[in-house]
Amino acid sequence: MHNLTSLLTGFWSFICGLWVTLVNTVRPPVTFQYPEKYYVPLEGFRGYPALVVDPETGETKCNGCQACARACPLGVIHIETAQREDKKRYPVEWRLEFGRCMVCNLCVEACPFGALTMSPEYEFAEYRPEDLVYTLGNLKLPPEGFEVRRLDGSTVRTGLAGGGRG
Amino acid sequence: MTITPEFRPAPGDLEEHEFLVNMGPQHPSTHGVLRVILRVDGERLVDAIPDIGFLHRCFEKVAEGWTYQQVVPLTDRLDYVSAMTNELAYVMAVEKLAGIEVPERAQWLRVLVAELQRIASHLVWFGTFALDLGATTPFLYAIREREHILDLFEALCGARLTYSYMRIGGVRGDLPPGFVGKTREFLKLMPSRLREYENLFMKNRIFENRTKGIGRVTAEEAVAYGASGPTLRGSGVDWDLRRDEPYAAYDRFEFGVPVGQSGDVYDRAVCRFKEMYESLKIIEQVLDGLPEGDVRAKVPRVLKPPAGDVYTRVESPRGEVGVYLVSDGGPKPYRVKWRAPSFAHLRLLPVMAKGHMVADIVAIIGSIDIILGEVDR
Repeated sequence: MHNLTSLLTGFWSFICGLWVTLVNTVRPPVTFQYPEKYYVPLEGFRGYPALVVDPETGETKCNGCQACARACPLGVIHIETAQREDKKRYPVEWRLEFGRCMVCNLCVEACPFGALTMSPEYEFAEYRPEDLVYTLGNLKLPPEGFEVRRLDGSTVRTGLAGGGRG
Repeated sequence: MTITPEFRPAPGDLEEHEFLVNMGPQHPSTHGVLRVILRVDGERLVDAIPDIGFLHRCFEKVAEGWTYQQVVPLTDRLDYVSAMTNELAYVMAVEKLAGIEVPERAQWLRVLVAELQRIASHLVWFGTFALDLGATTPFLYAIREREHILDLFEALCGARLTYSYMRIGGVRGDLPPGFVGKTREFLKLMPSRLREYENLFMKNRIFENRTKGIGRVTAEEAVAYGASGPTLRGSGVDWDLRRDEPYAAYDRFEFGVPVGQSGDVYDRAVCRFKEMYESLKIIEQVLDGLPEGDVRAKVPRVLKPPAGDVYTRVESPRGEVGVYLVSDGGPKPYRVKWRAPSFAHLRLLPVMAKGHMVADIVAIIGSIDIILGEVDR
């Protein structure tokens, strides 16, 4: 008798499991055909620290105060500055060793001028390791920014001058 | 005769029918780089000796060279499946040391993310545990549901695994638009999905046969070995830091603590599984009563806590994460000691494994839910 109940309850648990898999076969897939379709990140996504560009002058807001370099736990930010005629300092070289960067956002929070923000890009593969050292040329964000999603379904643009979330 | 990881058997060292089997370091069921030396007599386990250290990254020493704020993203890398609770343990230690008052809203947000993280972590455990026992399907479903939480975290702090969200004196940012609505959607969806998992796996006869009576730990043994979390509660010890020693804002919420009886793999698994229902309850209460206000207290950029030492502990999904922090008055911690629950639980492995079959070791390792990043630090 015990064996029979054991057999029946065991068989019933098997049917229950099969029912769950059957229900799930008719649910729409949640996977995403990534290389064919680009995944639009959510607002605030941390790709890599990048420099915000003023759309009028095409210059960065950075004046080379080294606050980000000091805040960086790994010391991957290196800035060299020069002085303009109007006594304002500007960066002549801004290097980020992205291969060692852990994208912790501390540099963005440290910047007192809002010159740094997190770029929402995420495709970083390079053929050579030295290409992962980003310089001023590829750290400047495009002035039109990036389109990102929000949880409520709307899209916004980030990376704009004057924006930046810290 | 005791067997250490360096042991190489010479003739006559082992009993006549015994031999050693290496499990890992590259083994899909050891959840990371763990090597277990199995001393077997036929199919029976005589002993199981864990060999750890493959993932050692000198966390405690590195933390001595960084400032208090800089250590926060580093703690993400310890228990990478539940990074939020690690950060919480660390920032609580610094706040206690420096006497920083955290705003009420930040405390509630900490509870919110910690409980979301608990569900995400338990979903990973559920999926991989099922995978270890030979059921492939629950893994796919669990990862699918975890994706909801990761999306929430991505909107909240910009990352899906290493969040860097907690800050000394609060949290980094307030909730993004749409967060509460999405979380409520998740709360509505999740109980029915959990019941599906129960039907699919937790009530399945094969699962019951493979886990009941396996890897039994008595309450005395569990306490003696320093077990905590579901591993301790599975043995029938009713102890949960969230309820018995409330931190952050946990004393404001009503929730149950599932407790097992026999301390076998099945009871530990059920305890963990039921915790997800309780976490959902807590999240609902947080969303209902979230107070307004600041999310971050004013903290000087160069933080120099007074000299002294402090110990804080939080209930992570795996157990009790403790941080012992010593300050010498400078801007960098003098010493950071991390008490990892997985480390204590791994010491229980020989106790649990003795006398069982070789195939059961996989179920036992899965039931204590170790994360090797935390064991080795």
